[in-house]
Amino acid sequence: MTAIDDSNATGGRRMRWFVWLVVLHLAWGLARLPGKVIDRRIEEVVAYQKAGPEGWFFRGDAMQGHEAITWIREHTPRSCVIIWEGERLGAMEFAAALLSPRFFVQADEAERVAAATGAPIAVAERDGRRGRVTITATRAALEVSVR
Amino acid sequence: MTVQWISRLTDALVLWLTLSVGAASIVLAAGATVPDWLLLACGAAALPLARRVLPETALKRRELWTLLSVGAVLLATFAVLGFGADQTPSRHWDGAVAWDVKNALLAADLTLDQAVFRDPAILHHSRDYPLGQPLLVAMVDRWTGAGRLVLPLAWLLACLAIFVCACRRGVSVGVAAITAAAFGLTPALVSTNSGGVDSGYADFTLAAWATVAAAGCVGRDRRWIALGVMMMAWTKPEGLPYGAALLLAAWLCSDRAALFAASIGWAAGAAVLLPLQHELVWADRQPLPASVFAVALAPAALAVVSDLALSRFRGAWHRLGVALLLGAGLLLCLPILAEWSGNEHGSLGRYLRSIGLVWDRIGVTPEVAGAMLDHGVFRGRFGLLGVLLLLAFVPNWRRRFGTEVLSVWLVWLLPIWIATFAISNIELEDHLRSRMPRLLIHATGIAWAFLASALPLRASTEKTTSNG
Repeated sequence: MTAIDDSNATGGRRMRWFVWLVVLHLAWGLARLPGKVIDRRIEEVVAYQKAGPEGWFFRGDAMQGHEAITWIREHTPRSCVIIWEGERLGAMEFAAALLSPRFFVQADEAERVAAATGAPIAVAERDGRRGRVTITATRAALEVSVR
Repeated sequence: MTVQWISRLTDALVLWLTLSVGAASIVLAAGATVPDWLLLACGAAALPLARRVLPETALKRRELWTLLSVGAVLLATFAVLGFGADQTPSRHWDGAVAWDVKNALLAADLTLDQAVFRDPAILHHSRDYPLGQPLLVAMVDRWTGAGRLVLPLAWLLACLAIFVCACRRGVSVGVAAITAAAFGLTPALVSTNSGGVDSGYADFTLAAWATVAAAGCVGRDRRWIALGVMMMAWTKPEGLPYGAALLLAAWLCSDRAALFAASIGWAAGAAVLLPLQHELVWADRQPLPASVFAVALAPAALAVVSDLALSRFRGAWHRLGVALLLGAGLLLCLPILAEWSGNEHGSLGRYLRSIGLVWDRIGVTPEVAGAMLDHGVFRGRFGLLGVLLLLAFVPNWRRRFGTEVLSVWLVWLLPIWIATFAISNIELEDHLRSRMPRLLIHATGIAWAFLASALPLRASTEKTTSNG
């Protein structure tokens, strides 16, 4: 045993109060279990399942883009190249994640990536126009267009 | 008998997960596909290697009931966290945009030979992040279809590590079990906040491995220290600096056993991680520079050699003087290390290159400290942990804490956190609000292992100790 162990052993009895503080912390944790851990988790899971991924992440006013993601999901194949432009961080992070495994690339690289991967560049019709699907991102919003 | 088997199970779990991630990372870095049987093979290898790290203990009736009650609470909580992890993908930002994508890509095909990993033109969040958690999720998912159960498994492992280290220290089984449950039910870990166990972030997984390393320090288990430090490096970019902080803490405290173990863990962790990160960023467009291995070995070798050289001198002041000299030299070398790491603009290299910014923005320190106190003590997300830790640093009580290395490790995390906020270009107030709670989660297990070293020893151990 080291000197440190000795000091703990002699101080052991005097540290009993410390155990009671640990028990108090545990009681705090136990008291939170039914409401804040179980109920809130179930509510969150149910709300997520009801809203779907994009509905969940784009709820509230902080970010807009729910419709753009749903539209792309419905009008493009799972394996394709989608052109994007604008701000990389923020709403665009969700587009790339929630629409994976589609490849998001900037316009000047689209042809090369499509050729290298064999995935076609996404083409669709929107508002009477047919063209390449392009997503434009700001930090807080996504907009989809065909060009 | 029960306690012995719990300790053996914990040791087996630590070994299994580390072997699996280590072997899979090497396979990926080599450009090959990870075979599905690897997970089972690592499990089969871990079982005979696992040790019963606790001596035979006859449990008193009260201890047995406490153990059973705590076990039931932990299993029920595990089930709740498992439900949260398994029923939906990640419900929080980074979990969805960074980690879930990697999980899904690797679960579909356990190789980096995929366009998303290979082609930098394809948008991919946090491209060079370590793959420890996604690999485990993907490997388990391919066998069970429920890979995200790895997340609550990491929580259970951390709880077991706290229990085993307290028992190894000589604390009674009942008190050790209560301490493990107190750690496990810390609000920030089990709530539905980002960074919580089932949020899909890698923050808690990182915390779990830090807990294993810290438990190794308390239980004097060199294997856990080494494996914990290794897995920290393979889990999140913060893992390498945190491991270096433990290395430094062990060096400053002249704790040679911890230093050697942490050095081995850090060097092995970096030697696997840096080539993998190079592969993730460069694929086959740039060869792996040999300097990567110098970066992996040099800090650990420097720590061990200088410790051996200094062993002739007694007293902390000599060591502190050398530490200041070496530290100043190391700070000057950080931009060079960034270049040598093979990934100069990556998640680690960016911080190493920009270390000068810390001096320019050192003024953020009071705000960082204020946010730390606010989130750690006043908001209740960490229960009484903040208060207990503050008590631990009261001079008269400090000597009752058995592991000096952990207190120094905790202190060394502070400059890393300050540097994180000083270097980042995110608006400070937003950054503190979103990141500080997660940084505190990283340290939660270390703090509980440290607190476990102050718990009173069981009567028989006290008697043995005073006789010895």
